[in-house]
Amino acid sequence: MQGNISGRHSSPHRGSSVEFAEYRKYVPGDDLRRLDWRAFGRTDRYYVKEFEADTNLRCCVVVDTSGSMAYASKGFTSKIEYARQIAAAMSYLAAQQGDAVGLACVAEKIVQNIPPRRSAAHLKIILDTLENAKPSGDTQLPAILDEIAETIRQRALVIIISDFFVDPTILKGCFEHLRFRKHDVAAFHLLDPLEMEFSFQRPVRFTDMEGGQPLFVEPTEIADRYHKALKTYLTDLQRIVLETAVDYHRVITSEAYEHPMMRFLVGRTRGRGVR
Amino acid sequence: MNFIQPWFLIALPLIAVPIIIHLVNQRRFQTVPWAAMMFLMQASRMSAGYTKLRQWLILLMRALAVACLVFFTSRPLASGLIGLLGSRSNEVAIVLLDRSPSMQETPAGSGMTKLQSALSQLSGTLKTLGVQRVVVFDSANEKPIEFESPAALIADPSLMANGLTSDIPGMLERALLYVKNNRSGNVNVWICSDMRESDWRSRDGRWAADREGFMGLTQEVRFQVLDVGPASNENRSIRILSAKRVQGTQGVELSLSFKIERTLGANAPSAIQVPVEIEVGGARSVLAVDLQSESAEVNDFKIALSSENDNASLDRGYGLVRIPGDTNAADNTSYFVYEKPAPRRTVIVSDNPRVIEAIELCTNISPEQAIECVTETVVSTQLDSIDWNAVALVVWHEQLPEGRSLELLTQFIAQGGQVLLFPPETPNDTVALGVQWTSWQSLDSNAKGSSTIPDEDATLAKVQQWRNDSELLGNTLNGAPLPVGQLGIKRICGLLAEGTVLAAMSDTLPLLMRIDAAGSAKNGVYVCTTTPSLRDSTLASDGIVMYIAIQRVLAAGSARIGSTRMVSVGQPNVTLFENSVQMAGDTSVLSNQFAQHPGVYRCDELMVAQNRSADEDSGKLVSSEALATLFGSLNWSKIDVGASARSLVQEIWRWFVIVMLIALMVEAILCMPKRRQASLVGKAV
Repeated sequence: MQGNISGRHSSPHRGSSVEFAEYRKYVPGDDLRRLDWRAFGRTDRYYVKEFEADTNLRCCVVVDTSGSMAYASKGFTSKIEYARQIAAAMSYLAAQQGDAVGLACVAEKIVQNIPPRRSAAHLKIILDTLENAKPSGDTQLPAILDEIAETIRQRALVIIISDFFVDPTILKGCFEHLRFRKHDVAAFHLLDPLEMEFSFQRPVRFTDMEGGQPLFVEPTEIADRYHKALKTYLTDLQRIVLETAVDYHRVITSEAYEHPMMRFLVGRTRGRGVR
Repeated sequence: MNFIQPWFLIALPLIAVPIIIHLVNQRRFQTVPWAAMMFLMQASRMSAGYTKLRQWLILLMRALAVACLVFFTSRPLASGLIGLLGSRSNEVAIVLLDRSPSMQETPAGSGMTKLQSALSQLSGTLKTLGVQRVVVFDSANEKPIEFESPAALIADPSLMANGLTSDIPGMLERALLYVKNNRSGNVNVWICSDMRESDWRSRDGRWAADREGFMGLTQEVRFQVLDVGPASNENRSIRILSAKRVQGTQGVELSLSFKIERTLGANAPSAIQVPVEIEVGGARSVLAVDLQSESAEVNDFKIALSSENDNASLDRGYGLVRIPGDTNAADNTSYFVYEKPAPRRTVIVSDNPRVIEAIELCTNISPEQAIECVTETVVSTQLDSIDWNAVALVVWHEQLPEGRSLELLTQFIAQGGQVLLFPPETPNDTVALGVQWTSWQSLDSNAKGSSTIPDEDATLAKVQQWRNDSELLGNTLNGAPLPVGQLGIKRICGLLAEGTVLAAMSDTLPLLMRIDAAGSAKNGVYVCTTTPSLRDSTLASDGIVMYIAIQRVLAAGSARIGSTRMVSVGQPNVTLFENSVQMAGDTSVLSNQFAQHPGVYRCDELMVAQNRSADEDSGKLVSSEALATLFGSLNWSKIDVGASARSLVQEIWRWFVIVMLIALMVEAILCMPKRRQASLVGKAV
């Protein structure tokens, strides 16, 4: 049991509790106190008895507020707005279940950091912070995720909401770091439909929303290569999240935020992401 | 490269339009804040090289298309000929111009005569080549005509067509002299002609001299033979053969003979009817002539010289025959003159008239009722008493003339008189008129080569060869040959002379010869190496051949008698036309050019009907092989320019259209968008 109070949802962590979960074979290093001697008497084999524990959750929502999150193609919600909706909904759900929830708004550094707490007033602080979060600055997500991995002392569910426009190989190190610290990691990857389509026709001067050099391109000339680069990136990211056991959800901002939320919650109910 | 409409090249800067549009398009970009710059950067890095190359290619193709469009509208000109000429000195061009009647032909659809189109094309080409001065040689003018610019060639009246048959070798001769005298640099000689054999005279001996002359020049001479095209398939021509005033049953009549010829094309009807308009003394009549084949002759068509005409026109007059207009107007009219025929007077000079008394019979018997024939027999010492202006033929049967006699005869021949020489019984060493008698030779097989007089029963030698194509022994009008082979010759007199053998006993024994007159066009001296005497030949007993031959030479000589002449253009001396008046013909002809144009002209009492030469009606062309032989190793080329006003140079706008289309196609291919990959939207995980 990770929390100090009993919660409404089953903990993803197996351990000793009142509700039996399953037997598993004893492996050296297991606590001898958890050996089921009766089973040993019946079968002459060593089994450890596992229980499913009800627990409270420490949930830390990390929202990317870098400049790139401000992007919104015509007629669609901006990524930051979308991130706010998901983060608020997640915080609300956690608070309603009696879990501690915290928030970190990150860009070049951690702009806002609200440690996880369990109170109705705390939820309001989080919501206010989300409302006031303004996207700006460069993305230093890898460094910040490493910092968060070190900062959160107790094992927690870390929900990262970002466009993840960083090198996937660097991102892999961050995920591994979080996982090494026993955190449960979920990632909502926000992408605008136009970022996926890249359906520009006329020459466009693209200005970097994170302050980089502008780039003049003939979209029809490079569309293919853009899609190729994007596809490669997504494939790499897909591979990395599988390798690092991150609960990954690619979200196109044209869809309603309830859908990714639902996929996330259903997945967790079915045990996806349970470590 | 040259252009017909070079002012369109002003639009050449339009080549920059695609580049400007490209640059403007680039400046009309939209600025978009973008988050996913990392993919853009990658894509941009990946495509930089190819994209730039492709964009440059597209720009190049667009500029090329515009350039081709501009060039195409400027109508570019080029050809191998021009390419070769372009690098040569083009300050002076020498033009040998064929202005003969055949060059007046107007091919169907062209609207211009061959001469006009040749001049137009030549003018355009020389102008294109930057020629500053043009020197024109033709057969009508002894001296070249110089023009300060090629454009002046087109409208100059001195270059209009005339009735003269051209003399290309003569023109070349004068051009050679001009090049030598003027020490010109490299020269282009342009020969404009319709390649008629009558103009080119490929058998003329002057060709070899011209060839060698040009070969010997230090400067390079290049000949461009501009062939203006073959004769039309729809041309007809008419020619007067004779016009004689005769006494008919109803009174005085005009007896006309004329010939109509036509070129038979593939689609031409086999038989046609040609209306021939005959105009005599202002009165016109029309005769329909059926033309079944290529030619038809109307002989002795009688026209009554009506009493309405005054008495003067009954004795002498002129007229013309005309056929409807066709492709060549120059051969649709033929002029004639007629007069009361003067007596054909023959003078026989003989110291032994009995020997040639048969000749007197031949000269006295007129072939036509209306023609009176008079013969006078004299000895050489009586020549001064003869009215030479009335004499047509002199039959000389004495020692060859010397002194005053020779002088009188030479003058007579120079004026068109005819002389027939027979050998005397004892020839001496006198040389006169290019002839020298040697000695008599027997042709009796028993005493061959002997100088003795053969017996009456001596064997008769037959004539081995004779020319039946023309002149005295030529076939009759209906094509029947003269019975020359039936003649028997017993002896002949040896002869030292140069001339054309008309009949011969063997290769070395001429029987009848025409003496080639040196330095003069008149060939009025004939030599017979035997006599009509029975001891020498059967000329008298088989008298048909002798009668016809003598009548023919008498007819030739009688042409100088009387006050009318029917001649070919260029035949009479130009001085004949000084102070002359045009009676009929092209009224636009200047008086100083009467000698070059067909028509009827009156000079004092003399009336001359002048027509194109008979050679003009022969459509025979100079073959390419013959042309190659004529020019030999000279630098020459033949260009078939056809009959149109287009310049000789080729328009190559089609190539620019093709290049433009190719450029546009390549540009379209390069601009063609690639098939988009399947959308990544919705591939949420």
